[in-house]
Formats: sequence, C-alpha cells, structure tokens
Amino acid sequence: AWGRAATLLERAAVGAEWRVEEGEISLVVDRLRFLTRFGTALSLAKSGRFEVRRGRPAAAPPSSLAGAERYGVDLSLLRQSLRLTVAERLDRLDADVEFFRGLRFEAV
Amino acid sequence: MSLLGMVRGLTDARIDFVVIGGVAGRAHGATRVTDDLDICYSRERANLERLANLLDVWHAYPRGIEPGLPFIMDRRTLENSPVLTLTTDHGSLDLLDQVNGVGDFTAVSGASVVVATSDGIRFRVLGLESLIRAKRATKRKKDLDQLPELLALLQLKTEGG
Repeated sequence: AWGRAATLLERAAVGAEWRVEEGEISLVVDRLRFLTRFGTALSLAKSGRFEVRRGRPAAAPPSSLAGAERYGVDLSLLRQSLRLTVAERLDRLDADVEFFRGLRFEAV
Repeated sequence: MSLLGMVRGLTDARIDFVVIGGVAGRAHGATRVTDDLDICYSRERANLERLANLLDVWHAYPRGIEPGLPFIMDRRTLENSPVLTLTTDHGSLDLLDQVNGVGDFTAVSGASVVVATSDGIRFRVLGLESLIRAKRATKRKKDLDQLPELLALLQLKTEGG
C-alpha cells in the first residue's frame, strides 16, 4: 500500500514527499501545487475537452460537396471565404468575435 | 485584446507554438466563429519558461473554476498538465502539448503552415488535412460537427474553387 500510495502521489505530480524521521512517517504535500493541480484538472473536466460521443459510432461525415450542403454547410459562404486572403479571414474572425461579445453584453 | 492580439502577444514573447482548432479552421476558410484560441506548444524548457511568464502576466486561471483558488502559473504547472483550459485577461486560451491524430509538437509543427495577419504577425497554423485528422481522432460531437465543413473546404481547395 505504501508503494502504491507513493506511485499515485508521484503520478499526481503535486509535490508530495514521504518523510521518515525518528520512527515517524509523515506525508508533506505542497498545498499550492496540489490546489493548482486540482484546479487545472477540474477545469479540464468541466470543459468537456475529453468528452467522447456516446452511443453508436457516428455516421461518416459527407465526403461530397452535395452531402456537405445537405448536412447544412453553406457552400456559398465557403467559396466566398476562399476568395479572401488568410489575413482578411482572420480579420473577419476578430470582427465576428467582437460582434458576438457585444451581443452577449447587450443581452446581460 | 482580440484573438489576434493574443497571437501577437505569444509571438512577441517568442513562444514556439502552432495555432490549432477553430482559429486554424478560420485561417483555412471555415466560417464558424470561435472565441477561444487553441495552441500546441513546444515542451522545450526555455519555451515553457517564456510561456509560463506570459501567462502569469495575463493572469491565466483555470476556466470554469470559481475565482480565488490558489493557482501557480509556472513551468512546472505546464510540465504537469498536458492540456490546460485557461481564462486570461485577454480571452480564453487552451494549451496542448500534443494533438490527437497528429502527434507531439514536432509532428504538429511539421504539419503546419505559416500565415500572416493584415498587421504583419506571422505564425503557424495546423494544416487543413491535419486539422481534419485531429477532429476525427478527438471524436467529440463538437469536433465531428465541424468535419463536413472542413472536408468541403478541402475539396473546394483541391478543385481550385
């Protein structure tokens, strides 16, 4: 059990250390490091970044342009976007984000 | 600060990184709006130091967590956390040290292309085919939903139009 505990603590990388002094065994945990690790792990769990689609495997995404259109992709928007330079596309992204941030602010 | 402002901050701080996710998709022509920046970063020690210092200046904090929890942003935190979902003074930032379906930073960097913004920031974004591989490998609904658009983009680009 001691060995297992030591392995788990090492894997958790929380700066824990076992100390044996005068017949006493103590576990010293770097509290700030532990809470940092806890916070990052909790944030990751809440973000859904590792959420995997459940149930039957998803149908293969449409590989044809017509299939993509049936899926709901607006091909005219894509064609329009491809006529822009990369710099123009990125500028539009920033403008879009600003617009939606503004909308959220208005909603609040 | 905008998404591109964050990219400028990263390049000015000489961080070795590749933009992945929604911003990379937009650079390739996708139309979805994303309000967070996803990057894959080099785990080289000096790079981790520079990145941690910048994130500390930006008051990076785990996203979705109640404020006030003690949090250290330093090289060790980056070393201990292969994936970090952060909120900063300038917006949401997700950090990954590798990308599903592509590999570690070396592979991601090798599969990337350099792009430039209108005000001259040059940075790397994951190539479209690798972005598609990454979305397929991640298997999240959110990522799978983006596949038809990215596949259509690839086809349009291949056909020249």
